[in-house]
Amino acid sequence: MRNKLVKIIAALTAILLTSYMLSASIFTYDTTHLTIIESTPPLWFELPTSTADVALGPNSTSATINITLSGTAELLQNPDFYYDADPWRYAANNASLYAYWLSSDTGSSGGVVVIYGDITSSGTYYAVLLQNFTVPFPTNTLNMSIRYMVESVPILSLNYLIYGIDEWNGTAWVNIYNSYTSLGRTSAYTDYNVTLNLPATLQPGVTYRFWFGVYSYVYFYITRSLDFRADWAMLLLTSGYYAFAGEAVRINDTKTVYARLYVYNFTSNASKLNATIYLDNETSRTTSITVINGNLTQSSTSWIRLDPPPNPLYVSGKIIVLANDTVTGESIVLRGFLQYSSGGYAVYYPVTITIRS
Amino acid sequence: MRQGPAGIAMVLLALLTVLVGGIVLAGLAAVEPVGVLITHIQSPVVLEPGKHSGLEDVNGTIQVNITGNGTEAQIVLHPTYQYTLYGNILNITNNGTRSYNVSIIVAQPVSIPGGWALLLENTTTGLVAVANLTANGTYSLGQLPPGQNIELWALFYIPEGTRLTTVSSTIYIAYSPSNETPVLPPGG
Repeated sequence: MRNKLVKIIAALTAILLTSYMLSASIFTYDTTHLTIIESTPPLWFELPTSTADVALGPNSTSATINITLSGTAELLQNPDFYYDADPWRYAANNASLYAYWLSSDTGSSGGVVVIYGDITSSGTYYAVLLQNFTVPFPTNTLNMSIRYMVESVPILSLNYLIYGIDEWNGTAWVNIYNSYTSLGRTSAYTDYNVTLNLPATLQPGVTYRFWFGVYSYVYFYITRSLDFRADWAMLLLTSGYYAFAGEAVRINDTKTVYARLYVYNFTSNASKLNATIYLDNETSRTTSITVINGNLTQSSTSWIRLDPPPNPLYVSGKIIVLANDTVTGESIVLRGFLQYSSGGYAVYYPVTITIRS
Repeated sequence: MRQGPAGIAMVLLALLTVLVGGIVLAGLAAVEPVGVLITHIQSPVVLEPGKHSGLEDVNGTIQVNITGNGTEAQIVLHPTYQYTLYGNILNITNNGTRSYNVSIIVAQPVSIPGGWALLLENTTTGLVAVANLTANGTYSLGQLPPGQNIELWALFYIPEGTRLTTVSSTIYIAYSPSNETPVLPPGG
């Protein structure tokens, strides 16, 4: 009887254990420990110097940009040197002349750029500030406004405010317009407004260069410095079009990255509105996101390298918007990302651009 | 309650049946009934650094250290605000001679604002799973035939305005010849 009981228990145990092992699978485990160190962003947005209305996120890693097209478009970026001198560049024919930026000056509207030099011999001296620009639609008339002060000029010299426009023909700059007006020492900032009637029509898609500065011919060296100060230089385009041309937002970074802008959502009630949007790093630009007659025809820019700026007066890059319309009441909204990467990561910052005519 | 020799033999027979039956039916190996030889073998499904391992990160480099003959990985990443995507930081590779069903188990989730996920991409069939790192969960990656691998990508969303921090997570890659849902390993 006892043996029979043992046999029954043994059989039941065998059945139970066998069924358990049949149903229980054998798993092997590899282990991964993941440590996430959240890091401060190496790239951020900054407010533009244009008339674009921009709201940045609390860490400047998102941007909401509102652009209202105007009957008058400012073609130059940072025309008033308010925060810095970027993207203006400087050139001179004599190393004794140099330029620097001041955050304010008596009677100025904000920052100013000073062209200065201690003249040590007779001869010709000139120095200019230069900036590239494009036009949103064809034009052969521009309104220029320069506000300046001449703090000092060399004794026995003739002095001029000089200005002009060059065209990039693909290999070199070709001057297409230049002019000048006499300068004397001024006791305060002075406005110089003039309409530029250009000999050729400026075309969209072509890169032009505007320059202005000071020219001094010193007859006989005695002493005294040349001190020319620019409060602003504006190049206004006025027509029946409603337009905008300039910075939508500025980009700054602490390490070299490659960036592009792309649109993932687009809404429009427009049929006449055209827009071109691209990234610019001072020396080159991407291909463009394009809107033609209210329709999105190209949704992404190409990639561009963004380096940390050489000094705090400059930024790494910008989102540039050129837009025009022939009627009012139209609008488009582009929702997208500024994507940047380097090495093995990619970061995406939300960007919303609304353009209204 | 002494057992007779016949009873003891019956119990031993039952246990032997269990062992032989279980092992054979689990399909791992065929064993001789007389003796069992236990040897350590190289794991068939191993972890390997992905092609983005060691490359520049938002801050520093993407760190992937493999230990335990490919059975353990330590990964350090440095995401920033908004969306940060890492492509192919780790490979799950089947170096064996048969297919395995692979799962990923988020055993130690992270609790912070935003959304964090691991993306599992079979290089042959495409995206096979999106594992949420902010909650416990088990995700099947499907069958991994010999010679194939699954890439581990990572996507982070850190909302603006939140305080940056450092957190850790532990995940397990479970594999088996069977297609059942794995459980956490002992101590996991």
